[in-house]
Amino acid sequence: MTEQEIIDKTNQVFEESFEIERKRLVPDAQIFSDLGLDSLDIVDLIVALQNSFGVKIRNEEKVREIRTLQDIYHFIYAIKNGEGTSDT
Amino acid sequence: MKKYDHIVVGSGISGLTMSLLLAMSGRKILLIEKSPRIGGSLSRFTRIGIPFETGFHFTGGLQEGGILSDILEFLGMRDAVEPIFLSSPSENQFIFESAGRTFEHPNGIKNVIEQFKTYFPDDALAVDRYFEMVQSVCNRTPSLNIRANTITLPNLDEDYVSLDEVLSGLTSNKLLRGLLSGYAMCYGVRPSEISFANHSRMVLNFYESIAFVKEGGDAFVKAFQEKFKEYDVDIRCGTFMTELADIRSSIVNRFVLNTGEEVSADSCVFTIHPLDILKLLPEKYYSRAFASRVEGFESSIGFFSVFGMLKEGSRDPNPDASIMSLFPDADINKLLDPAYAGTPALVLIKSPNQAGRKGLCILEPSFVEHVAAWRDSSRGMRPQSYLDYKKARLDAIREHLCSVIPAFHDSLEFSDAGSILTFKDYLNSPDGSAYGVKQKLRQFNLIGKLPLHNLFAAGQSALLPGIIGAMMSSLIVGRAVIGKEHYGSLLNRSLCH
Repeated sequence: MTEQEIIDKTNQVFEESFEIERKRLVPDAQIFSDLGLDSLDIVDLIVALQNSFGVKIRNEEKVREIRTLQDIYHFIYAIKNGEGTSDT
Repeated sequence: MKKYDHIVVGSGISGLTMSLLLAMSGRKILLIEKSPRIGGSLSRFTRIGIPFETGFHFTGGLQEGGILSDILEFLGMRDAVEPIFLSSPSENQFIFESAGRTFEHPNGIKNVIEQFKTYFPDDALAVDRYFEMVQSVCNRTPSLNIRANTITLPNLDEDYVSLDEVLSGLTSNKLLRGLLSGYAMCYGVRPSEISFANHSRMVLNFYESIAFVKEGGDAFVKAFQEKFKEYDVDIRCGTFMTELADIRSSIVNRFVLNTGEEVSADSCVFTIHPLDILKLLPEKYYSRAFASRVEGFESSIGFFSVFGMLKEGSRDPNPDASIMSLFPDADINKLLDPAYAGTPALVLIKSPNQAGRKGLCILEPSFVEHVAAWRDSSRGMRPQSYLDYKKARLDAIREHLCSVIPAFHDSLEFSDAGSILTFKDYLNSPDGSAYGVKQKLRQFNLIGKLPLHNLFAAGQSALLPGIIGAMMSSLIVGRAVIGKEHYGSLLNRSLCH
């Protein structure tokens, strides 16, 4: 999967599952302060990403370190390319 | 408008526990229940003069120092719940019919390990390793500790691997794998779908001890009723919530009941099925991701349940208080597959509460798929085809049991049977399942704070199934509601007595 495909698909999750406009989905956007998610949304985000990418995501340190959209792109990229501890 | 500190919705064991915990902390509680009486599946019913259990048959954790003993001590009702322990290994048997083997379960994990090693001497190391792993998971699980229980997401390696995967890594012996998976009947998830961690959290209690309770589920309901008088908890039966109103800054200020009455409360805890919680939340307050997560939950198994008795003076080779689990196949995955068409697994329960009257209860795994044809029919109005389905299952159960216990041929009498539609009707459950939402690997349950900030979710679907999981979910969420300092001081006060 290319980086661009990961970006598009991740953004799609935010648009469709959290109803956030596309123009706000910039890589630097902070998922809590800029995109308005709260801590309760994280579980839903994990589930939505799992379903969308067909990956299995663990609740691990790396997930808790996620702050921006860019962090999510990198996180998914690592899993998709076998670099993460989460399996695919 | 009447004002409460907290409203608790649903009066199964989780709602009862939640109401009492919050009331013990000095809050004014309203408990609402849709059915005409409180207790949910704890309430017993009577047929042919014999009390039968609806859903609470036996439990682990009642031994000294066991988790359920501690919970009851905390709630001040340990004396009101009198355990009747299974004491002899022959009182709890797993029979694997295809292999022609019977496995007995003694009390206490050390005894179980020794016993299992005599059954599988070539796999003694695998047996040791399995029990080490089960205990290790439980020791590292904060939600199993009433002193330090917090809402945590699955965080152990064992949360991310299935029971099947672990067992396959330990042994190639399919019969041993079946024996170690057999308690799946007590949580309703296939070994390929449950995490090893959740399996461990549920079965350790059974390995330690299994007990019936004198007067069964009614003993719990009565004990709670007494406590509710003491703490002045308001209870309304035949009552449910219809609307969350006057919502400001994600806080619900008015709760509208089906009676038309409106009440206000600082917060509300739902112990009902997650799908029923979702229905109440106004759409604009949650994301589509939240809705798909909740709608994506599957149902655990339900039971086709038969209530019967043995004729006076009949020969009965089994002890008066006993549990006999029949597994026609060693592959538990197969037996818990809705598409499986062979002879179902079966659990025969003879409670000491029915001793003398020789009452017994028979449970066979069942699934929504089995009753899909009649899903939209209502109680008392179901067509002949449904009655034929019940009759065919009853005949098959009789034949299955008599093949194992020939003495039952002329002594077994059935007095009533319930399909999972029966449980759906009587327990106001969306699917009639026995253990709520199926606890699947990599699933994130609905527990704790909901998208509206003064609403919370607890219940057997929130944490772990069964009486212990349901009660623990209420202690965990209740601790978050009243604050951990307050919870800690209540705990110290109760356990110091």
